[in-house]
Formats: sequence, structure tokens, C-alpha cells
Amino acid sequence: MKNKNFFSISIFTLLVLFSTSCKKDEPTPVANTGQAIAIGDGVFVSDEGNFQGGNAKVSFYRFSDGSSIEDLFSPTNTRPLGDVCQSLSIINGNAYIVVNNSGKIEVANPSNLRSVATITGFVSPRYILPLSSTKAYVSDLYSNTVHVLNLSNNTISGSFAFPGQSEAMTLVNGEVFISSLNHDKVYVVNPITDLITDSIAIAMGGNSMQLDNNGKLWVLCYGDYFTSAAGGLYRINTTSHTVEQSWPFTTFESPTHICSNAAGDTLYYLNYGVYRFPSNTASVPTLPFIAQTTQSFYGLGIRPLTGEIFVTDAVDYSQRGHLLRYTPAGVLTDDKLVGVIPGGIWFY
Amino acid sequence: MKSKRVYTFCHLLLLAFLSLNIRLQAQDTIIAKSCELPSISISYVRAYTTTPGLVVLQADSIQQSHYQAGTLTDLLGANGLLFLKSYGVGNLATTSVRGASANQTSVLWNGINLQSPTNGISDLSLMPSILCDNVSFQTGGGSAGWGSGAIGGVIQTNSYPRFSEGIRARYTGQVGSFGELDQGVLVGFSNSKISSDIRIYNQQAKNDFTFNNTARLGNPLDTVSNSDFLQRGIFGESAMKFKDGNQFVSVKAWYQSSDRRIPPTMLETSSEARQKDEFFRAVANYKYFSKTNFLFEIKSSVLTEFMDFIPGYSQRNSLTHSISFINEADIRFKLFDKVLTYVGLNQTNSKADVTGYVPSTVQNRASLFLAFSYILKSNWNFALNFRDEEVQGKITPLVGSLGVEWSRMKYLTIKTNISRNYRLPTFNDLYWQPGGNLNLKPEDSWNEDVTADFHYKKNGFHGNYSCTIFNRNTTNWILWQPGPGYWSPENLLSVWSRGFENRLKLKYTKDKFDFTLIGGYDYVLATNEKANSPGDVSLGKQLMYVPTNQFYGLVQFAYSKYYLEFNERYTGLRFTATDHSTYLNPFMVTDATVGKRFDYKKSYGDIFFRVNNLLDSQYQAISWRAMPGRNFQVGITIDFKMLVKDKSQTIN
Repeated sequence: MKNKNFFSISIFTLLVLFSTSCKKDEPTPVANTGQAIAIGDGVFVSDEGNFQGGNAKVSFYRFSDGSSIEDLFSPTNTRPLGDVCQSLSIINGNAYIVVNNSGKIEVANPSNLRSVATITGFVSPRYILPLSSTKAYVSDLYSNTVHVLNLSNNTISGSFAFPGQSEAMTLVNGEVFISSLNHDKVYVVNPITDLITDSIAIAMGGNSMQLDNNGKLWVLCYGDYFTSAAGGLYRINTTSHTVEQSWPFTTFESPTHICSNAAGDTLYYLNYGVYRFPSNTASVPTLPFIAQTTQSFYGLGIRPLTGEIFVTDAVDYSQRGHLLRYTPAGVLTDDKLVGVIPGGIWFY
Repeated sequence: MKSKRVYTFCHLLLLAFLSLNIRLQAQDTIIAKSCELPSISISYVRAYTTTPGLVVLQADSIQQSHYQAGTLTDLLGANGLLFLKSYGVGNLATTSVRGASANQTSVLWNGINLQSPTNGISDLSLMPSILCDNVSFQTGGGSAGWGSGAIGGVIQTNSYPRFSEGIRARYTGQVGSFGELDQGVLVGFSNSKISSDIRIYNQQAKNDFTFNNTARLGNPLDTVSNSDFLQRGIFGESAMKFKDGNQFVSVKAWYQSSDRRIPPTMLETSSEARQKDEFFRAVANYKYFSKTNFLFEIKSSVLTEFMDFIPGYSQRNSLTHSISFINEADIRFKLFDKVLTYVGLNQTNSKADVTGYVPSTVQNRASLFLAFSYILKSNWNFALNFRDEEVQGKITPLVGSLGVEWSRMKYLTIKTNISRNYRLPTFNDLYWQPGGNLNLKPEDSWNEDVTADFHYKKNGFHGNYSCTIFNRNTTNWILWQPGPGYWSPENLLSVWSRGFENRLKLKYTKDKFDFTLIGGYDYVLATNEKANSPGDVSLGKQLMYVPTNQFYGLVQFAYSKYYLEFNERYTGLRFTATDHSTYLNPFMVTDATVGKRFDYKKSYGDIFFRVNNLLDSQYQAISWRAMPGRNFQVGITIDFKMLVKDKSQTIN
């Protein structure tokens, strides 16, 4: 730190003060194009916003012209979406927007996100998994239950006890596999009886799952946040409920968002960069396919139709993030502003 | 004979404190002017040598007497002394001075820094007004005098003994809307040698106010839930002057427990969060001064802190236990006839047990303080201060300040001060698992001020206006950033703050009529000077939650014993995203108080009725945190004094 001449600073300060005091303070809002959204048009991005900041949003990116809308929900409904938007799933033609820290799900028309119903009564909902046209499960961080939703009238019809935080959910051959962030297991649930029938030992912090082209379930765990125990990647045989192969991480890191292309033969995940490997692999790569440099990669999705890679960048977690579009070969083709802390990518 | 017993008693007390700690200690608050008490115990050396060139604002005494029953949040808020960031009534309240962060302003209690060793925060809502006989606020850096953390400014709160006042008793209480009940009792006794008092207080509120929930369609009325708080405590102090009046010893001890629930934001449906804070703080202090400006002071304190944060909804709670021993020794002597020299040593040992990190984490710090003060021809005043600190064997960069004051007649004082200040990383920054970063450097800040202070006094009129222009550059600003797997603090930000501060005070008294006007206007630019990635557009932008414009005003009319006063506070637009994509609207809050004072001999009483937020404005200080609309308070203070024949009268 160099010492500065005090008087010149004072004079300089005065000049700066006078030159900047006329500057307008008002931020410029991002325009909503107002064009209705149809199936196949683009991708929704769930922007978490800051915890207790109330700035959760749903953004939309259009494939055809690369146009984007930063905030769909609140202009349409003339109220804020809520606190921490965790996920968005299209079920029965409606968008189910899970607003984690507002303890609710907004059911909205995907063409403009006009709310048609609000389901309340959750504690800390995370993801929704449709089981049939009338039934869905909702995972929850702090209720120690999994909620059962009646999709015909959009109400909570019940719940079943779950030993801890329920997180990612996948329906495979009439069984539901549910991961937990604070337990080192994947639980198997019978969706007819809503009873836990089995559990499979893995690492702590199971945050995402993906079914591959061989019918194997991949579970990604970041480990134990409190003890810094490392996580791992697991391939589970969904018939025998056993771990077929595992790739433990050596240190506590932040692997998230395991996902695949439409064919399910190529898997991807995020860990300070985008990693990619074939589903029949014997080893997972040690170097990322798309390296993170100055960005803060936060969300990942693979466009089913083209295999394009979509990644979000949360920058400093206190300003609007970016949606980055890459070709299947990993070449950046677009970069658009979305909301604060864009966490989820949901193709429509 | 008697004085010998006193000696022994004092020695025992000191020993008791010193023995808590193996390493020897030091503290830097000696007293500036010797013989006059009570000013003796409030004018610390460092206040004396570090403030030349800086603006020191005293809480207005009238105001202070009207906010006796509440906390510093209410007192400072109503005084407009500084910008407060409050999460709501009874909840966390911190300050941002010239765009500094919550832990870049030191809160001192009788010269001891109350910033938590674990998170660096000092919560003003945990400081009851009844313990603050005197509150002052110094803008600009003060690390040379007060050590780590004094980057933005220093808030000083002091309780002090009052000798020769006989028996004293005070009751202060107020009831208000939303189940508010605050009470405090002080009982004291003093003669010319001994002064003792004990203070007990209790504050509680349900805080179940209604508000228009602007987050919901049609802005329906909602009621705040999970928002009650309870705070109670006991404080006692004893001080003794020795027979010859050149030695002084005092002991203060304070216990407080508080329990508050944290309400949901407007966008959360409910909250079960709750925070319990409990602490014990004690300080013992011995001073010796001679007529030849020689002074010696030793001060030893112990601060314990317990916090239990219960997030609710079956999440694990987070416990924080910490204990700090702060020991200081100061010496003052005359060098070259006109130069007063001060040397101080401080030793701070802290230990923390926190859910987030390894048990019994210990930190040892020692610092050396050196200051020179020089007064030339009574209208020039110079002060030069230095401090260097050693933390766990590592030496922090040398900090210091140079202050110059020049006055012309009684009308004008020009002040200027340049200082380098620092803030050490907190325990959480260093040791949190995972993420804690042992390689963090202290935050480094340069502050420059120039102030013109005009005074005018004639007949019943008294006017005072001051304008300060400041500049501050802070580097290595510690910020928690997401990394691979977890958040971790880094020396990331560089912040440039600059602006000006205006203060006006007008007072006019004629016969039984009295008019007071106090006003302040601050213009602050605090911008981020470092982008951490090409996509980071926060470069050059005002920091979040720092208003560029702030204004406050107080108007008081008094006739005979009746008074009517209005308080007005305006807070400008604040951004809530670093890229300025979202913001909170400016707001203005007005309070009105009407009251009457009664005097009887040396005793007095005061009753008041207050309307807070008179215009029922709906505003947010923090995003989506509801604040109460118009609400009411009624309060009473009775202060009883009775002189007692003093058999131990001595010559001072």
C-alpha cells in the first residue's frame, strides 16, 4: 500500500464527488419480450437468488435466436416468485416451480409462467418426481419426510417418513430411488405403498442421479460437509440394489449435477469444470472436459435434441449470473445474463 | 491503616484478574487529564491522542436521557449518529460507516473492544442504553489507538463512577406497542473516595406487528411471527480513589442473557430460528498519576461469550463459546518538555469452541502502542500514533495515524488526519471447517480526513457546523467466496470510499424557551475497485446496502419543563445486488416525542409519550424484512439523588 499525497487526494476526491453526484442511480430493468413459449423453444433456468433475499427467478433462453428473459414469473404474476427457486419440472403440461425457502410449489402455465395454483405446506422442498398423472413425490431438506402430491387437484395428499434430508429422486422399473444429503445411503421406495423397502450404502451428500442407457443408476455424492469426508461417484444396479462400481473422490470437493445426453450413453457432471465420460467406462476422467477458469460454474444440463452443453455461471453469487451454451464438442457459442445464482437448467 | 487495607484489596483484585492469564499484560487506556473526576475515567489516552483531526460525535445528552430503557440501536438510531442496518426490532443491528462492513467498526465498552473474536461482529442490539453513561462515535480509522477492526470508525460506550454524589437511585421504564416492556434500575452510592453502583435491566417485546406484505398478491396484511425477544442483565461497578487522590482503582462486571426469535422474511412462510446470547464481561483497572504528567495504568479484562443459534426445522444448531483475556498497560510521561509520550502494551488471548471448527482453538496476540502529542501555542495540536501487533508469531503491518488541529479564535477549527488501519481475520475466517483460510492477511486501509468546524456563540444562540471530506482505500477486504466444494474467505475486495459528511447544530435559548436543531447529511461513495472475473460487472459500482445519501434531523422545542421533538431519518437507495440489478427504495422515518421534566432539588423525573414512525411509512432496511409501521411508547424516568454527609472527605 503506497502512501499517498493527502492534499491531492482531497482535491481529487472533491472532483470525483462532483462529477459522480449527477450520475443516475437507478438500475436498468431487463425487458421481457412477451412472446409465448412453446414446447421445444428453449430452456428454463431456475435462479435460486440469495437465501432470504427474495430474489428467486425463472429465466428463459430461446434456442432459435439466443434471446433470453431474465425474469418470467414476477412480471406475469405481479408478485415476486419467492425465496430460493430450487427446481422446475414440466408435469401434465404445467411447470411445477419448487420455491425452496418459501416452502411452496408454484404451478404455472409454461407459455408465460402465469400461476394456476400454489401448493403450500412444505418445509424446505427441493425436487418433484411425477409417478403417474395423478401422483408425485416432493423431496424436502428439513421435514424428515417425503411429501406425496395429488396432481389432479394440486394438493399435498400425504407424506411418509424419511430418515433425514431427501434430495434427488428417480423412478426406475416401478421403484423410486431417493438420495440424501446427510445420510450415506440411497433409499428405495415402493411408490404404491409409499414405504421404504431397501437402502444402498454409498457416501454422504448424494445430490444427483442419472439413469444410463444400460439401466444403471449413477449417483453423485459430494461427501460430508461437516466432517469434510470425501464423496464419490457410484453406479448402482437397480435390480439387485447393489453398488456395482464406485469412484471415490480423494478430497472433499463439490461434484454435482450428474446428467446424460438423450441416449444415456454419455454422462456429465460438474466439479469446478464439466466432466464427461461414456456410460460403459471403467474409469472416470481426472481432467475436466470444459475447464472452469474465472467463472463459478453452478448448474449443468445437456440439451436432449442436440447434445449441446448448457452451464450456468454464478459469478460472485450476488449479481446476475450467466447461461453459457457450448457445442457438444465444448465450444462456447453463447453467453446470456440470467438471474442471481442460476442453479437449475430445465429443457422444455 | 485504612489506605493500606485498600491497597491490599486492590492488589488482590488485580491479582485475581491477572492470574487468569499466564502471560503478562498491558492495556492502552490511561487517562489524559489527571485530577478531575469523573472525566478522568472517560478520557482515555487513546481518545486523547488518536482523535485530533477526526470528528467525534457525542450522543446528544437530551436524546440519551430519552432512550435510557432501550438498546444502543434505538439510541444511536434516533440520534442519527450513524447508519444502522437492522434486521428488525430487537434483532441484529450493525453499522456501516462510510461503506465499511459490519465488522469494520469497533464497539468499545470502557475501552475494551467488544467485537466477537469468532465472527468480528458487535451487535448493537445487545448493548443496553442504561449501561452507557456516555456514548460517542468517532468516524475514520482508529486502529493505531484501538487496534484491529477500527477501519470505519469507533463507537465508544462508557459507564463511569460519580464521586461525591451520595445516594443515587434511578428507575427507567417504558411500555410500547407490540408487547414492549423495558425497565432498568440503578442504585448507587458514592462519597469522595468510593463510588459503587449496580444496574439491573430487562427488555422484552412480542414484536407481533402487522404489515402489508408486498411480496404477496394484493399486498395483504400479515402479522410477523416468531419475533419475540427477551434480554436481561446485571451490571455492577465500584471505584475507589486513594487518600492522596493520585491513585484510582475500579472494577466493573456485567452479565447479560438474551433470547430472541428470528422472524421469517416476507417470502418465507414461517421460521423457527432462534438465537440465544449470553455473556460475562469484567474489567479491573488501576491508575497512578502524578502532578508532573506522569501516568501509569493497568487494565485487565475477561470477556466470555456464548451463542446458540437454533435454525429450527430439525437442522443442527450451532454453538459458539469463546473467552478472551485482554490485558493492557499504559504509561505516559513528558518528553522534551512539550511532548507527551505514551507507551502501551496490549495482550489478548482468545479461545473459542465453535461447532464449525476444531475445539479449543486459541489465538495469542500482543501489540505495542506508541503515541506522541504536542500542543503548540494552544491553537496547534499534533498527535502521532503507532501500533504494531503480533498475532500467533506473525507481525502485522505497522499502522499509525497523524492528526493535526488548528483553531482560529473560537470560530473555526481545521482538522486533518491520515491513518493506516487494519482488521485481523476472525476465528471463523481462519478456522472454519471446511473453508477457513489460515493464509489470510489482515485487511489494510488508509483513511484521510479534512474537517472544517465552525462555531458561533452569542447571547442565547449557539451554532456549530462541520463539514468533513474523507477518502478511504481498503485492500485485502476479506470476503467469503464459493470455491470447489465449500465457501472460503479470501483477501478479495478493494474498496474505495469517499464522500463528505455535514453536521449542523443550532441552539437558541431565551427565557423559558429553548429551541434545538440538529442535522446531518452524508454523501458516501463506496465502490468495488477489483473485478474477480471478466464476467464480474460489479467493478466500479457502489457496494450493496451502502446508501449514497443519508440525512437526519432533530428538532426540539422546549418551554419551561415541557418539550416536543421530532426525529427524522432518510436513507437513500441501496442496491441489493453487486451488479445493481436490484435495489431497495429510499425511506424516511419520523418519530415524535412529547414530554415533561420534573425537578426536585438534585432529583428529577421525566415522562414522555412517543410516536415512532409517525407517518406510518412502509420500508425495508434489509430485503423483505418487515419493519413496524406507526407505533407508540410511553416512558418514565425517576432519578433520585441525596447527598450524604461525607466523613471520609479528603483533599484532591
